[in-house]
Amino acid sequence: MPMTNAERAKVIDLLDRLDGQKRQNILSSFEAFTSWLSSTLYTVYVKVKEQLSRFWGWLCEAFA
Amino acid sequence: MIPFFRGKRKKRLRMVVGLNQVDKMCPGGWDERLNAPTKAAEKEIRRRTQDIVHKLSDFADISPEHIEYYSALRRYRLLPLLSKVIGHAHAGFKLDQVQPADPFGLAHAEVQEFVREERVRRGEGNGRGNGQQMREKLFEEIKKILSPEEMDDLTSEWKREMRQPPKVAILGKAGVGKTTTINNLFNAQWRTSHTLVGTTQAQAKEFELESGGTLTVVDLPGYGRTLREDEEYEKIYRDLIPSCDLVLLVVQADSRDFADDQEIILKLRDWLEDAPVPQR
Repeated sequence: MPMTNAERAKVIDLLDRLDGQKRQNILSSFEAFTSWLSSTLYTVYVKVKEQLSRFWGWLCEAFA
Repeated sequence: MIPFFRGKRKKRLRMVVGLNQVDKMCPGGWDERLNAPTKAAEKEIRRRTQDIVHKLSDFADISPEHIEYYSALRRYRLLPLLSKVIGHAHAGFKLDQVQPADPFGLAHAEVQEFVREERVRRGEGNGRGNGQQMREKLFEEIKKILSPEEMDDLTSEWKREMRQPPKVAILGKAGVGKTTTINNLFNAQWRTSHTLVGTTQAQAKEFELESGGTLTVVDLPGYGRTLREDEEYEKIYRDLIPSCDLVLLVVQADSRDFADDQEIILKLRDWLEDAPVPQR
């Protein structure tokens, strides 16, 4: 049975959501890296914290 | 989105609670052709799971950020669950190349064909990059700030970490869908198992990730059957959990009684807080 227009619209919406969720995984990965760095090499973490914060802002903006 | 750099430093808790089988919450509410909930069912699932999230997080005083709802069997909301796993696991970035099983793989043939065409039209990755590309860029930025010695330290720790396969402990009541969760969430192929304690009650299973590398899953015995068993298993949990990068607790979303689950979340929280990084 061919897909209806409503089904096509819903699939497109679901695919958009999956894309958004994949981008969220990249943000989670960044958060995991930051946490790992702070627990593994704290002095290095403190030194790059500002840079990480800027990078986080840049990522969020890119994915907005 | 987690406002990571706002406010004071968070206390790490290497735990995710997955509310599985949400598709059973609304009988007749599943669109089999698309393999997705109907609009009304989706709304109802969201409403009811929010209640459970509040119930569990308030009881154990953990952030709702540690809880996610999904259906492993239907492959529904596996990416949000994976996002929580990556974000809360120790060195969770090692899992950021994982691609959960595709929900449209269970849809009808004509829907699958439409999805395939639509994905080709969109192109791979939307040009926004992936976790690995993001890290390469981040390392370039960090390199500008650190001394060569500090950069060497970072690189060496990084390599040491990357050599260790991610280790995830999974537990939940019998029949809650632990195996389906592992198979579909990590899209993993089982390779070997070996017993961790005197009986077959806890096993370490090695999986080959389709995205590359391996994953160790510590499959723990289920709780909530008898008091005696729970006491016996608690010793196993306490023994094995501190070495894991993450504990994934699978809870039956369409249950009416969460007392055992609340109890175990409370205990897990305390054990994990006692071991803020994995004791390898």
